[in-house]
Amino acid sequence: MPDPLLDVRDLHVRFGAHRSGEVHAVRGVDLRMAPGEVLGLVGGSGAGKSALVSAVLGLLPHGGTMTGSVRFEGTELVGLGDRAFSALRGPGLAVVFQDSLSVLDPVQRVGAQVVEVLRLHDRALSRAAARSRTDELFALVGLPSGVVQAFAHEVSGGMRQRVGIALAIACSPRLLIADEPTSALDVTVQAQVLDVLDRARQASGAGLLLVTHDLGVVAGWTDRVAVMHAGRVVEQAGVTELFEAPREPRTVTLLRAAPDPRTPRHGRRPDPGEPVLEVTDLRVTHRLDAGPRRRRGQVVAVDGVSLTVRRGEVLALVGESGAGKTSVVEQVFALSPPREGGVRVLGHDLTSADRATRRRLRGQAQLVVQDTTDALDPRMSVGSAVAEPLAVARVPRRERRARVVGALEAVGLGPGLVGAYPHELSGGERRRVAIARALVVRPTLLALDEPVAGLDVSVAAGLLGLLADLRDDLGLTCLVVTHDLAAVRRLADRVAVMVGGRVVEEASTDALFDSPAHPYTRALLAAVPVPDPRAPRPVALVTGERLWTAARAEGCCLADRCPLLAERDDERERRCREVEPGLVSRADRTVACHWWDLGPSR
Amino acid sequence: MLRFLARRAVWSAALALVATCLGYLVASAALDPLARFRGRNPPVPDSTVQSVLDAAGTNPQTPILARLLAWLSGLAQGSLGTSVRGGEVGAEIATRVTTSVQLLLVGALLGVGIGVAVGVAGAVRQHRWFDRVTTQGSFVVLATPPFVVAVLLMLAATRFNDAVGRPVIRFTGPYTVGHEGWWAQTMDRASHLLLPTLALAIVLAASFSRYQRAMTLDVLSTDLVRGARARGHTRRSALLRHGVRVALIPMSTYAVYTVGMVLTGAMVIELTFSWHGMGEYLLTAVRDGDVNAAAGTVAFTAVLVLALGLVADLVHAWLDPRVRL
Repeated sequence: MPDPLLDVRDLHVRFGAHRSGEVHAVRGVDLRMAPGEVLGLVGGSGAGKSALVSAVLGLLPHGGTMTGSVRFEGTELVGLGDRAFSALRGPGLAVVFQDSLSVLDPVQRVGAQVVEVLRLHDRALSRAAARSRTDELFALVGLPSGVVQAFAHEVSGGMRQRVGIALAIACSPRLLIADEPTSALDVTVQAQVLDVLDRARQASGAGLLLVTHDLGVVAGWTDRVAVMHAGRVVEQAGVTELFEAPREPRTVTLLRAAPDPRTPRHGRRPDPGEPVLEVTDLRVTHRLDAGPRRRRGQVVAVDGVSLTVRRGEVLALVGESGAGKTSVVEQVFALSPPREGGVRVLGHDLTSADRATRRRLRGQAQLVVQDTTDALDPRMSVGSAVAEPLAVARVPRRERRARVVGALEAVGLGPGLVGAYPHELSGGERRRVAIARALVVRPTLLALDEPVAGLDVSVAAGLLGLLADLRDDLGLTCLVVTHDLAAVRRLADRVAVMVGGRVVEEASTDALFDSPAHPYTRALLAAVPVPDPRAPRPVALVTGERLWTAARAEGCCLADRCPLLAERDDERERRCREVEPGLVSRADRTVACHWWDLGPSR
Repeated sequence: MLRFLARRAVWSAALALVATCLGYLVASAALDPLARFRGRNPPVPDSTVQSVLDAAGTNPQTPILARLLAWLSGLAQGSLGTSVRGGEVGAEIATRVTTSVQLLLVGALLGVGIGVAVGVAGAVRQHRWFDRVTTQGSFVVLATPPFVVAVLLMLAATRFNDAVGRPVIRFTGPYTVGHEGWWAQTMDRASHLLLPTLALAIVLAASFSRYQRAMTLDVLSTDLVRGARARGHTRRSALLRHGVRVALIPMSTYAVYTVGMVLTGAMVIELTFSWHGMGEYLLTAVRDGDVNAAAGTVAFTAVLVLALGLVADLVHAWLDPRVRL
């Protein structure tokens, strides 16, 4: 074996709070990486992955201490001085963070930050040379050249991660650490960003330590895997070996919890009843304001969407970020009259519904918003938060407590949590509390916006199981918004795929997953990571991301990004640009594409 | 940008007008211009009182709206009316603003600057000796009335003068009469400025350091500095190059207002050091029942506040590109 690039021996990380006692986050980790190797580091939240990465980078937060040994190319990093360590960060070790927005300087142009890093490590480099090197780096990570002049908040999440990668590889590091680099991105962008990372790594010959909770990502992009649990590395193996013959029970648990979009759902679902929610030709535009009474323009978020959800059925709304999924749900569950289009909830037309009707509907149509941490009042106990909708629904005071306990039980939380406050709960528990708050009024229609986003694998698996049980036991009618396709496969009866504010394909879950018709659906499915190292690596057939549009697109909203570009000749392309494809029924589904029967899989 | 400025100017002018009118109404209603004629010996004849008040436009027997209109028409011609002591209010304000600017601007800028520096340094060395000393020190200053701070400084200066044997530091009024030549006069003025500047700087620095320390701690706890260090900045350079600027943004608005508002708000310092500035003017106007002087001061303050608001917005936009004008 050649000299290790990184050699971690018996590393301990402790966080010593003054009074609340010590947290022993990393408990004796041994880890070695060869030059150029791609090592995946996986584990649930709280396993110590982040603490380990921070320790290797020498960036432990205040109050953290490490003991043991971390050698990087033979240099001992534990106890290394700030100046010497800083000189190493960049050309030696570099890192891509989960959220580049928070680590980029908000008031400096992103290009200037790359220039700064280049010149920081090479004082002889002229400003002009650094600028042209920056342009090269941006080209390498697939960023349009204009982004150099942009500020971090002006570019999309995917582009920000590319900027983060450009910053990390600027000084050609020998070890690249990527800490959950794509956890905040949707699958098509994730596949693109991981490819960029891989390309950048190959270009510089760096080793890559890929920290993630997504076993699909591990299976697709790493050579070797280390599994962490409770501060220890419990198993290390080659990626195929680990997936096919895991030795440790923790690894088995982790693998079992990994959602696999290829598994069809078992069990027969009852036939759906009458329509509970009908959305017809809904359009939602968001105004961009630059101050009171000063409009800067508008964004068309939803551009003519029609949906029907029948009683007892689960409809999933999927698509990339910015496709308009959340806007649909927010418009519907605000229960206010839509500006354009029609919404009928439980047979009541919202355009003409009066206040009393809306109030009644409020108790029957509930929404669980995406960020449940923000949605819970930090100064309100779990009990009073869950009881609040009951007060709105005018449930007598003496019945409320029993209802609250019942709702908490339904989501698998004990009555002991009634007095707890949101900050005392884990992310998964907060999600459950938010669901309990929606269920407490016994709604007929429940909408869940990204119910498992940001949760770790095992917690997400638990929550999905819970939702499936609720669906079966309570006969809930659900609208689930998500970009997690594995969750969709497990929960949904039907799927509507959205892109550019429009629905482009709608079909039963199995039909959609087994034989996707619309080119965008095919691209979406091809980009989903699968927890199987032998499966083909996810690819991004659709590139780019949706740009905000001020006006509604003339032709197909995918005209510039379509995976079928190669199959289209000029005549076909002209049609795509000029004529908006309508939703047309084709046997078991509806598709909006002029050329859906072209292309590889048809 | 120009459109923003134009719109802002129109808006501000309207607001200033409203504030000025309200100021005049409040001053007219609350102040009693007759008070200074009462209890005189020999008594002032009623006809004289009436004619004096009518001349100033402050006779309470004239309906208040009529007085306001008369005052506004004077304002339209560029006059703020006459003071009870005779003399144009406008001219008086102009002189006093010059005095206040001399007296206070350096102190205010110094105070903000020192406060920001101490705050940042304290946040960076949180809970170390520097932070503890400055924290305790600023609380002591904040708990001390500015008047006491000024008097303590005077006592110290007197001791110093006694020790040296001649009056090096002077602290009564803006200058001593009788100095000849440019150099001697400048030195004399500087010597008079020293204590008031110091007093103001200390008081402002104490409060600013607290705010700045909190802001800086907020920024330091974000991933911004961590990210900069991950790219190879040392701790110090990450803080200075990336942390401090972001921490300054929320402070900029407050700083601009504070520096500007000492023009009319530093009456205690002005009184203690016997400078005839704007703060003192408002106090004497209220004491004398001088409606025109009080209303003039309010009008000046209204314009000042709105102008400062504009400056604050421009500074904010300059520091933070996320702000769109």
